[in-house]
Amino acid sequence: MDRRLPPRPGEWIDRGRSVEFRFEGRTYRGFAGDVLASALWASDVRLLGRSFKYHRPRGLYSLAGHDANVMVEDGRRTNLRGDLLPIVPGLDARSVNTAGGLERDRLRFMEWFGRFLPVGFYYKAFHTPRLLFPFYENNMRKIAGLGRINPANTPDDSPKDYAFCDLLVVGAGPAGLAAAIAAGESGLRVLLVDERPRPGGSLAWQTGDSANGPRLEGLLARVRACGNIELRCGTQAGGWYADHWIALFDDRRLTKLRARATLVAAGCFEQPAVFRNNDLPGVMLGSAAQRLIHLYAVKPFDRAVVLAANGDGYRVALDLHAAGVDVAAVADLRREGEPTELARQVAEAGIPVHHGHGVGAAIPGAGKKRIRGATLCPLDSAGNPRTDRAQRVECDGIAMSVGWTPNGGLISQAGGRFVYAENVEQLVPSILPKGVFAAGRANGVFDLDDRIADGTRAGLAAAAHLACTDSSTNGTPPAGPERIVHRGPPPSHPFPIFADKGKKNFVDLDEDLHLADFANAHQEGYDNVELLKRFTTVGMGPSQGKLSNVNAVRILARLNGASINDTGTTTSRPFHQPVSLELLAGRRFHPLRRTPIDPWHARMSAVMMHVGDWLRPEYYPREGRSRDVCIHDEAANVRRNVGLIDVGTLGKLRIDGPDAAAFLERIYTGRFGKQAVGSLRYGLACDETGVIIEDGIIARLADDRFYVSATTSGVAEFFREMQRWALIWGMDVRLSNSTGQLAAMNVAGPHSREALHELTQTDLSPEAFPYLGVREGTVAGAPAILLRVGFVGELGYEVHVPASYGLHVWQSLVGAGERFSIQPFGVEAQRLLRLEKGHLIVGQDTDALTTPDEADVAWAIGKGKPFFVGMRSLEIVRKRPLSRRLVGLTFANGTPLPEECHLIIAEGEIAGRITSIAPNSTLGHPIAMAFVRPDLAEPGTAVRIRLDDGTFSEGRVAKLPFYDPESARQR
Amino acid sequence: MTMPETPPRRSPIHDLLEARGAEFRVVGGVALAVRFPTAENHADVPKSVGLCDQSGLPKLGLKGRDAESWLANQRVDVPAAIYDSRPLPDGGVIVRFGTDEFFLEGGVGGEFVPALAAELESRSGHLYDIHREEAAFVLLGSRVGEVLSQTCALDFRALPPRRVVFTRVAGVSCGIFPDSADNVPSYRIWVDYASAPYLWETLVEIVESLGGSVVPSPRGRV
Amino acid sequence: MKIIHCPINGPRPLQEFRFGGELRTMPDPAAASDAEWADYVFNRRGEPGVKREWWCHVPSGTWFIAERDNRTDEFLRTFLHGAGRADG
Repeated sequence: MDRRLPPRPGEWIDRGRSVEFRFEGRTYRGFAGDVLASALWASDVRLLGRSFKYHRPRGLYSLAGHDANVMVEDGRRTNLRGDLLPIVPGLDARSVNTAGGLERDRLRFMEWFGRFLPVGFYYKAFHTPRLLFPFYENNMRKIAGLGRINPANTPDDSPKDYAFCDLLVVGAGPAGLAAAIAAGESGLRVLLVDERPRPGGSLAWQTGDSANGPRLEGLLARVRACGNIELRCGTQAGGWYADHWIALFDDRRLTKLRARATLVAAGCFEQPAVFRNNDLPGVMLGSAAQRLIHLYAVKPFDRAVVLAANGDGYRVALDLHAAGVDVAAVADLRREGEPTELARQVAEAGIPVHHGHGVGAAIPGAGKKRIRGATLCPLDSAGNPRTDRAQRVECDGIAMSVGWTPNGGLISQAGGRFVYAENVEQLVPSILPKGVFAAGRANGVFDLDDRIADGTRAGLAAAAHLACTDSSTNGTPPAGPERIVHRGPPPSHPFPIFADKGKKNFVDLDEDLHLADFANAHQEGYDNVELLKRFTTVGMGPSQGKLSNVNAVRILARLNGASINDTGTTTSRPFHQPVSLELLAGRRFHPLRRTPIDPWHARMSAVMMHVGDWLRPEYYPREGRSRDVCIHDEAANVRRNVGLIDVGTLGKLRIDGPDAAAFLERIYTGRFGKQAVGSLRYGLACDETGVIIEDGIIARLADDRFYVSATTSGVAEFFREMQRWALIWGMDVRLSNSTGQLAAMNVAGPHSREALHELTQTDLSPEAFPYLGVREGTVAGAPAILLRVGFVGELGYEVHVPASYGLHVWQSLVGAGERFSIQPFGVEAQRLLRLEKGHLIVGQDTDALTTPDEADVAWAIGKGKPFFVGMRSLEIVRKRPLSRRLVGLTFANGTPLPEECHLIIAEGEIAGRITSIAPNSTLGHPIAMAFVRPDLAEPGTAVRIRLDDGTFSEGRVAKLPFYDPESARQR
Repeated sequence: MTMPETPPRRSPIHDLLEARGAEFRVVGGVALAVRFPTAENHADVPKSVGLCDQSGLPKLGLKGRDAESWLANQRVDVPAAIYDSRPLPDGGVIVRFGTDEFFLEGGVGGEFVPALAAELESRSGHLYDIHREEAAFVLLGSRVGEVLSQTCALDFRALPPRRVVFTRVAGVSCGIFPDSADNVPSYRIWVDYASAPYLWETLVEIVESLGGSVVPSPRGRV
Repeated sequence: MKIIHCPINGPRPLQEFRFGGELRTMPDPAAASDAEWADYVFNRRGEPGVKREWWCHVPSGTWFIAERDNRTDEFLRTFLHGAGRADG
């Protein structure tokens, strides 16, 4: 049966574009513009999903994105909501929460076990024994789960972007449109978003008045005419974060919006009534029936009962009547009925109205897949249905219009507060944070003209606020028009909840919670709203309580005998609607830094490693050689011939100015005031607690110019600290970080002088350019700083050149060194070579508590200095005995070897740990550095190290350095 | 012993350009990509958005109490406010980075900055030259705003022209110089040499997703 | 994400900044007792109220001082070190 109505103005479907799609394996047709639920309802399909726990049949309920029981998967994506999912040709949708399909779901018998599944059942039953929990969990997930993820699905990297505006208006209904117009015409850059595919909000479906179409068109024309309003439909404002940072989602991307103010005109969620079988297909919100009629031109039912507690219900009855539905009755919960003109119109349409009546139950048809009637009950003075006087009415649909709740999640997230207002019998915003505005029904204003006026008021208030923020005066915005207060009967009923003991009166359709669950939970002592939520899981399903929280709070308030305001509400958290992880992941940025020599490393197929943000060659693999052999050979070639390493990742700083030397003396532990121009010194830096944080070399280029190297991973932070100290001390220094802008390479080994000699006019003779000297010259035609350092323990030169010459200079060195058997070496070989020399690496051989004394580098502290960072702390620390010392360890060949961080054990106690180890040193036996208790630090002491498997390795404390103790080779 | 000539400066993304089949020409000591086999070679106004490498132009950083007076003595038009810029005679630009800190980038083939650097040999007083070798990328065309909005949390529409902005682009710190001319939106991005390959690859991906392409140097600066 | 007004670079998102801890005055190292020095080095004032803090705008390397109310996480004003109580 085709339930499609004749074409009507303002409908969202495109009748020119028929769309064929599949649902549960059967083929249907709808129109472009339909969502899955509307297209199926138009084909008279009412069983759209199964509930979460009891697998009860469920149909269309809100048609507003909250129908958590109508979830499908399309083969690629899962947990798609049928009341939001547009149909497209070829869509092949299947219900997610069934065993063996929706119609014949084997789990539908779960409902019979319902009485054995009281609230909290899972917490209680599967709590013990703990051992079995994984088993329970696995099976629970299977029956109570949602969709399955398709692991073969490879999502695109959806781009994320940033956007900016003065004012974000959320909701393009009458209030939002009016607000955007008022703000836009005041000169603000306005972004107007609406989560639905078209603007208009309730103007498009609710009021049913023929004047509404032109009215909406008029508002939209003004929006278009105003050049500074951007309208984005199909876009949800998912979350509000500090300073109006708002996550916007459309079907393709996440937009991070920065607004200067936020105006929420997002309307209300219609709330269901609670009665027996209020969940079955055919029972729906009045707004859902109106959306079906006006947006999708679908006749919701053939014969309907309307449960009303406000004028909106009377409009629903009129809309149904106009759509050809036989409205059997309007049951008005209010004894006095509807006082407005609408009551007369309903009477004129010949619709029977029953004042002071509720729906006692929906009467299920076969298999509960549709309903076949309703019982109307008069309400007693306490508002309870008199089932003894129930009157049965045949119908296939019940439309509920009993109340609303504001869609104010963004307001709460921004720090706003709501208060229960009895003139509307619902929550309204009471405190709006600075720069946050509310308008329309979200603000407790219900009359259409009032909503438009309230939108204008809020838009102007936002403009005044921003104009005030702009000006330098810090006054309060000029008082705008008074807030509009709702007149007439309240649009919400204070307690549309009717007990029918032990039956299925659903409060939360997502989680299959019924009325009795709340009474039970309350009886167990869960009388606080946040506790009740967690115990019953109300509001924790996919629609996050948008249709259940209000009733849950009304129930709890009544159970506690307290007011709604004293009962409180649960916290609203982002996101407003579920967002696919695909969009949240989106395109990610992983910044990576490369040295200028990187293309050469790539040509050599170097194995690269991440060091901080950098990529560095770990080693250069060679055909048929293992990693360890390659590293050992690279190191051996440095000892024997000459090696070349890319040290471009080292921090490279310039410290200039009249106070440069004095500044360095305060930053570093050493002395630099009398350092000769052309020489370099080791620099060790501590933090204020006296812990080693950095080391490097300090080269004096001129009296007032220093060139400083720092560690690869520490330089950024260290340089920032230097900048801060320079400010605090008020010294005349200029600090520059040229780390990425200079290439640096170390040519080291007995033949390094000869190799470099080919490329420079700088006199490299030991007399003219001694160890620890620095020269400015050229290398291979490029301006260069040459530094004679001995980090790896051989004759060596660091060559620093502008990055754009780096590759050229490197290749020139490789060429010039060819006849001296020059080979590149990587980070691993360098670590080995420096370990042989006993040089520590800050962060590897030191930790967050290591002082210079412990690391045996106290020699780098200048004697008698008046100040350096950490000095005063070290004075205090030195009054106490040392607790550990950094020493060398040697191991006999063949000994099982520890790894870094393995513990040294003495007399059953931890007595130290390995900080660095080299199984294959060029010395012919394994070596390591370790912290040990001072009493174990004497060379020759044997120490025991506990290995992963619990066995022990034995090493012997050795004097550092292991290699070339006189350091003759590097001089 | 023969000393090699000063080699041409090399862009940090030279290899990436080469892989696109770029033809290079050495102009003023810089190897510049002047032609691509497939891209829009007439780059003045790319259809959507163009990305152009201008790394390797001569640069100079100057700091110190006497930097401003020295520059003025060299007849450089010195910008007064922090982040303000002035054009240099050779088509380059000078920007004030701080109270007494300046950044100069010469034009393509320009001699002004190298000549200025040579003058520094005879400097005196508190004047320090700092090696500067940022990569320079130019984004230009009608969809430039979309590239920026996908990489940068800053509202460029709200910023004045020809003033440098330090911010993060695709997660790395950059200086951005809006230098739109003749109604063609254009932004110059200075980024650390070491981060340049990463940023270039990221920008290329976004530019191409918007229907744009890598283009040779715009004529205005050649 | 919060916006912080850098005195040099203007309003920028938090991600461009690094927190530098509480603004503290170093006691005279020569005059301070060990206990006073240890208090300076290790203890921080975490009580609710308006805090003076160091912040650094990372892309430009600009250190400045912010007055922040840690009860509301609101930045009241920012100024360069040494600009003292001048203006925000």
